[in-house]
Amino acid sequence: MEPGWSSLPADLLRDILARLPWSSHPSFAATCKHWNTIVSPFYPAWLTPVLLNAVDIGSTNIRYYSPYYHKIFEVAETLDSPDAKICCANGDHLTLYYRDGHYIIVVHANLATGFIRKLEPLPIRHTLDFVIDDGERSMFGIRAFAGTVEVARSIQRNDDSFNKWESSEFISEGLNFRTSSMTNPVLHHGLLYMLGEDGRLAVYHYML
Amino acid sequence: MAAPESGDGNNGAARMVTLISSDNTRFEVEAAAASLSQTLQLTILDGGGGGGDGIPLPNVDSATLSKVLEYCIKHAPAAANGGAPNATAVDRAELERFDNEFVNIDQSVLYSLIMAAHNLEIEGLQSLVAKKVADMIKGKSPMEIRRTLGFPDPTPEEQAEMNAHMLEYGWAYE
Repeated sequence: MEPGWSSLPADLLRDILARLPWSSHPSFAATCKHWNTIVSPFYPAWLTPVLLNAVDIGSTNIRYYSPYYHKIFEVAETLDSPDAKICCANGDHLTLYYRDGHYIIVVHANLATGFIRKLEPLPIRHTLDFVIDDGERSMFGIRAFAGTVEVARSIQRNDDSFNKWESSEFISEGLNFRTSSMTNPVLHHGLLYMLGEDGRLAVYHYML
Repeated sequence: MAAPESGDGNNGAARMVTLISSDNTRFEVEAAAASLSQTLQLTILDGGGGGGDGIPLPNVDSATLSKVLEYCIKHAPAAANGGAPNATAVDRAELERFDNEFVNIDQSVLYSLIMAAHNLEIEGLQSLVAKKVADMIKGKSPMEIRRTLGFPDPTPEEQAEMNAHMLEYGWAYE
């Protein structure tokens, strides 16, 4: 190997790396192959945003902390609504919902670009208990009430806007399934899991 | 050939040693200064480097060695004090000023220095250069780092790897 910075002994590179802030590690690693071997694996940036808070002072500003950059970011667009509730964070997206008159608005915020996209308003009678973004272009709104569970789904189009909500009734009253108010539904590999009050676990597959 | 001095230089002239660079230039320097190098310290404690002998340093050229010794001579008194207790704030400030000035040099010289510090195990000098390099590349993109440190232009493959890496790991570069 030719002498030069690109072949600096590993312990010297570690010495330099130790003096750099975390935010410089990705660049350091990408500089050349040899340097890349010095940097310990880190999470890809899209995994790292951690929500800090959504400040509600007449408008909602979404702020989050990224340990990767050791920095607090603020989503550029202001959500012009008080009372927004944070439902779900998936990858670099954050899902919130809020009431607007007689409608419920679900919004999908891209934390990386700061762009906020609103889904089609739902009439208030569809009050949602949970909204889940599956991270694969499907948004689920879930309402669990009096033994029935309704699941509405909205699919994201290629232009990133969302289709209308399609509702489906999940569990008939005959099953008498009441979701536990202590837990939230979980989406995993396309299946929606919900824990019942009596400890039974309900599984929903939206394709069936 | 003169017999090596047995004293430690407390009563009179300090003990001197001779270092020989890769291009055969001889440097005469106080043993205390050369001893900032862990590697040389062992040889010197064994009585080497005195008189007509010299300690050959096949990995260090004369330009680099003279720079290394400049650092060692400046730092030897503080090192002899065990670093701190007697050092005044003025002394420390002066050393800091010297250090800042000392590393304000071209990246190719920094490279030779850090390699020499590494070979000769001069911890303070290695740290000083490492810190300088870190300051030079902090906050820079991979391409800027390469330019700062005089890397050759990346091959198309290297460029593609760099781009892919930054796409995955650096979504918010400012």
